[in-house]
Amino acid sequence: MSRDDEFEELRSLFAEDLAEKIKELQKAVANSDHDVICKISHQIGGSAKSFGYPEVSELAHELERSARGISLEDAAVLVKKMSEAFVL
Amino acid sequence: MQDILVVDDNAINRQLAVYLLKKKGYNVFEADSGRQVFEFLAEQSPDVILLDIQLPEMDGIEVLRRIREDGMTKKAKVIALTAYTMRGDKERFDAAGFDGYLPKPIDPKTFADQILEICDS
Repeated sequence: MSRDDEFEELRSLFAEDLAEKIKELQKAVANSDHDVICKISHQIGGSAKSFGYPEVSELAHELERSARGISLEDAAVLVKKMSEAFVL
Repeated sequence: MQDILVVDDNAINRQLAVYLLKKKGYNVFEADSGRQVFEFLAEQSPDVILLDIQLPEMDGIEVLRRIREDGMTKKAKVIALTAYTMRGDKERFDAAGFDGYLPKPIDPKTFADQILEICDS
């Protein structure tokens, strides 16, 4: 496997994982689980940009920063934006 | 600087760091927890440890504290590699005794150079 193929493989693994994490975030928002929201948004924020999704990282950072005090409606909006930025 | 230990419990993030550093010719080793770090340091002495902060069981600050207290390595520079990037976080890691701070998400283009820069400073 060439080096570039290896990066593409990692990118594709990351994309699969990110899709799962966004689903987990949606669940956490529905369950008002602020700890899980905080944990997952921290993980996404710290990685998405490295794999070519800068907007997803930014949104995740925003969610993490406000996770403790955010309303569930606002959290849901951020997760939706994240999901849309990921698809694009 | 030749041997680098990458510590991150997220396998994909860890593999990205390993990939980028191997591409630059370094010998790269991996650990996903504090326990694995201690096991590794009992056998080997890396030049650099890239240590994530949010780890299961024991966070990176606690891992560093034990490394220093038990004198597990004198030579390794320990760099916090972390998505804790809010105001005051860097100071918190400096105070904990890290030799450097690299915020995540990492930039694949500059990652290896940033590590070199920290090690040369």
